[in-house]
Amino acid sequence: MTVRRAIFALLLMGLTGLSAVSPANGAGVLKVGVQLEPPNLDPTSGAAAAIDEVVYANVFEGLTGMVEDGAVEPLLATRWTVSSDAKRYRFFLRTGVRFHDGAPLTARDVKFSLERAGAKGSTNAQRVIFEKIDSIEIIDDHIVEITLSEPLADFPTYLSWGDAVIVSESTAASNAINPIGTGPFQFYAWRRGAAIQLKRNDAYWGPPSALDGVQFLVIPDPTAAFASVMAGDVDGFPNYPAPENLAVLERDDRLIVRTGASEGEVILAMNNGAAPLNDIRVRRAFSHAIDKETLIDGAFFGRGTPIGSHFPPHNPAYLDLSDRYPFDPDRAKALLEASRFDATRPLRLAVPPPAYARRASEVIAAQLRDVGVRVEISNLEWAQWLERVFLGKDFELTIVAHTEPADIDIYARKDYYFQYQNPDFNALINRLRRETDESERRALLQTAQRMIADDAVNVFLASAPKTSVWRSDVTGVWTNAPIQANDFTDADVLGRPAASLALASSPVFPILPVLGGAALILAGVIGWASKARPAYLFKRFAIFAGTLAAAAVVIFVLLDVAPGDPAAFMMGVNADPASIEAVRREFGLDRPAMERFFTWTLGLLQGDFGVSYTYRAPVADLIAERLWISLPLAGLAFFIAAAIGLPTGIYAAARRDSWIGGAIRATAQAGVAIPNFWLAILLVSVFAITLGWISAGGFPGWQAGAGPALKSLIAPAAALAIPQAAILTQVTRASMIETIDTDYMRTARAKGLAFDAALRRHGVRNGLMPVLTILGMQFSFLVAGGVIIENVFYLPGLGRLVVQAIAQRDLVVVKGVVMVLIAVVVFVSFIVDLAYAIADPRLQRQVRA
Amino acid sequence: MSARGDIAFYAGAGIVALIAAAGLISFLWTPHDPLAIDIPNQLSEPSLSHWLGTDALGRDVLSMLMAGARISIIVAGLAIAVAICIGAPLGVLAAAFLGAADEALMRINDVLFAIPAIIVAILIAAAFGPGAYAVIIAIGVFNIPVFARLARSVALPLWQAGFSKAALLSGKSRMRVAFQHILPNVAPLLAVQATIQFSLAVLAEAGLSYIGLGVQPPQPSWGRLLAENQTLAASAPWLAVAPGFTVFLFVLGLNIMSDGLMKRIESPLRGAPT
Repeated sequence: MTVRRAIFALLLMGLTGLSAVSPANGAGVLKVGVQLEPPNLDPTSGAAAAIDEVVYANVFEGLTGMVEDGAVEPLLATRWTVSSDAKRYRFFLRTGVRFHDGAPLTARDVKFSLERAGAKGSTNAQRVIFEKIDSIEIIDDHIVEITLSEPLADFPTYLSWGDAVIVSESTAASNAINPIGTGPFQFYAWRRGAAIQLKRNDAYWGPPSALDGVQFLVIPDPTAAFASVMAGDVDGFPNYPAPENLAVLERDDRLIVRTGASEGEVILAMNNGAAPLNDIRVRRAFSHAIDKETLIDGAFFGRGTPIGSHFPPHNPAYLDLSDRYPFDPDRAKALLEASRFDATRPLRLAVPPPAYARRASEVIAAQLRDVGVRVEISNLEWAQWLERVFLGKDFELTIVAHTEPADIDIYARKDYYFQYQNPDFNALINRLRRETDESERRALLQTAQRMIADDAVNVFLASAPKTSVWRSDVTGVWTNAPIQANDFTDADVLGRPAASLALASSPVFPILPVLGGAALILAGVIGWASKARPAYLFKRFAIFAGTLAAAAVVIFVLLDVAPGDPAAFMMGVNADPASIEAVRREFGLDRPAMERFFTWTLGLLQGDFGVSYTYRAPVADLIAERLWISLPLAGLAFFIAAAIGLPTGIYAAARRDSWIGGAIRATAQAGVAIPNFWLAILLVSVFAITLGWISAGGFPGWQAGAGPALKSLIAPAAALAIPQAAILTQVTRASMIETIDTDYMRTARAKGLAFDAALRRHGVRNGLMPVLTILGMQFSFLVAGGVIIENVFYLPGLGRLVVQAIAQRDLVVVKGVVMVLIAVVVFVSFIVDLAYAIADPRLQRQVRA
Repeated sequence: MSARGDIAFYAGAGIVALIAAAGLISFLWTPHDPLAIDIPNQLSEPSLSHWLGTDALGRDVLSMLMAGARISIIVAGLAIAVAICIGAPLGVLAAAFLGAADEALMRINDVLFAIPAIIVAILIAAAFGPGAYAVIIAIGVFNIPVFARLARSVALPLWQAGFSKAALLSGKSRMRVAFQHILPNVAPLLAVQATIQFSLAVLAEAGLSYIGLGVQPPQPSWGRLLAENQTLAASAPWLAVAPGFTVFLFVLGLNIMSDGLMKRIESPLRGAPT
């Protein structure tokens, strides 16, 4: 009874957690799919494009802003003047602008923001540019004068980038998690791993948005992206990640597929600083060896334009050099021969994670093989790529898209990763920086394009288009991407009633302390109920605690030697080394290992798992949020598995000689062999995509109500449960058959009980004893198996968290999640041990002896 | 053993042999080069020249499945071999000496066994990067206790048998008896258990490759094939069905086969003097 009451109390605790929820989302909210979750929400703190994709123009605004055709227009500054030497700029600020916290925008904020960006120790990715600011003078409340140390004709363009948005001094420090800007939307809530919610800023200086809010849903997986569009879970993707099924989407009249210009140049970058690619003949040979058309068909499914230099075709200064090195394997071979290329040594092709890069790498490897060059592909996560290729320059070839606008000047950067050095080119860029005359600039840009093409610095592959998919009733969204951002200022959802915004953040329930307390209570109750000896209980508990301690040591030792610099990853491709060092200090990554270990373990004991490098939020909170999905998923799967497995197992044993018994046996045999993630894929394609009965994935959040939440868990739970149910059926059947053949069952029948009655009264309870161990193990496996299934259904649980954290080198999170997974698993086996002690007192004596 | 059981056993063994043979043959020959990219023929439906169609890069699915079979078998096989080589001697020794060492060993076993292979794989992949070796270590570590426990429980009663008593009396050390006389008698059951664990290892390998922790491209693998192509499930269903079904078939065959083996081995053992 006591046990039951304890369980009831636990359930109640769970329910009170759930009752703190509010009703579903409003219809006037635009639901936007994004592939990458931003590590934080401060665009001035790092280079991650994912930050700009959420907050640029929506939450934060700069003095100038970039509009859809790439033009730079007044934003927080209504106009500006520039001195003839392009060194002194005067900006006139818009009046009546307020930050989301109510503070008015003044010249002081501008001075603060730009000085902060260029300050020593600033983590701003474009610090190099802001360092060129000599002084900022406040003329009056709404006029600032900026003096540069060298001429920068492009300064207003740089000010339109996300790195240059204007922030308020009083809130700047917390912008990473609670961004306060001046934009048409204000930050509302962030469910990590799942969604970021913005709501309309009613005090906006311009015309207020027609939307109630914007919800960014993080959907990293191309499959899931496709499924979510088909299932209507999102209103669209500004950058649709799965070109392979665009053809299907184009045929669907609920959707509009738009192909627009982007600033993205996909290049096969070559290490110009080391043999053999420091030889121009080898680089030219490679340029002749790659068939761009085939590559575009294979890697981009035909959606891309061949290019011949580092410049986007939609730009007026574009020079078409795509035929500078026509596809010609024979010429490539001849050039290689002339350069005495050593064909026996394979070249390393480092490939970052995006699907296009992975596909392109295989096509390129095959094409280079055709001219006698051996290529070794190594697929890297972004963090590894940044450390090894971008910072370490330890590579020969790599494939990457450069998405920053007007970035041809990277070829003049000292020590840039492809290590191109040409004084003539540097001089050219310097002239360009001073030049303000439009036609003169165009000529200079074209010379620059030709120069790097002649030097065959990299193989310039394609300009990748921005492909967006939107529901047909969505208007006012960008088709082109002059900057990696999604400006929703003018967006609207036609024909949908405006509804009050009822977004709510997920209730962060202190699940870890609750679980810990429940563990102790449960242990105590079971120990008491079973009248177990304290020595036995103590021994079990010692094993439990010892395992966790051992796990902590192993986890720390393994992950502390891991390669890949989390700081480099956070700061992105354009970051300078000093900023990376600043981040490293901020997170204590420069401390000795022993000190870090003790800080970490002491923290664990107090429920403090550290702070995530990427989310900049407490790991304990992240895990607590995710457990609300992973544990119900495992629980539901466990329930389904038991509800199917136990009865069918018993039934199959009771009727072992009939055809039904045989059929159950055969079905179970097959069920055991089904890979659960394959089952999941089949369930998605049949029930979500084809029939549309269930959601293709994602999680509405418990605040959407228990119904929708459970509905989104049912298919993943079924996929997890069915193979486990089959195992359970087999074990139960075998165990029951053994029981049926025992003497006491025979006696029971001999005294006149019918077979079924004997089975009910004596058989089932005894026969299920061995099943107990399996049930305990199954729960562990369901928790672990969830890691895979969550990735099929993009459920933001622990599994997604840990796979993402691995990719982002967020090792604090990996350590925390693995620790929690092990704790759950060990705790369950601890409970099973105790349960055994109740059921079979002989066990305690045995262990004592 | 019944005739029906025999048929099932041979059917299972047949499936296993077929897939294993395909994997073996793939070293010498596949219908097409599994790595050959053929963009003009991308995503073609199953046909005479491509029995199971092609993927997004025009690669032949059947050839990739054949090459994937060998990866799957090698990875799962090595993992189980590692587990037996470490687990079985440990179990036999634990049974030979009992006492504190036995207790400690079995407790460590319990702990290892409680931790699912995927967690180990995540740790190794996070620390050293993903790859076949990560999967082999993860599945291997998880399986050590399985074999240690089995070896110990089978070995324990054998110490009471006449042959081991006689060997001890003739002056052989316990260590020597354990390896010369006990281990060979434990081997058949270990072999059957190995087939069962092998089939679980095949499933685990597929799952780990699916989330990208296993064999890296361009090396074909069943799990990754599924991961790479599931976006195309709607337009090219053969790509989502074929790899999954192959895993299913292989595991099913292995399970049926090990069931049959178990029955064959059990009957003589039951009558054996212990």
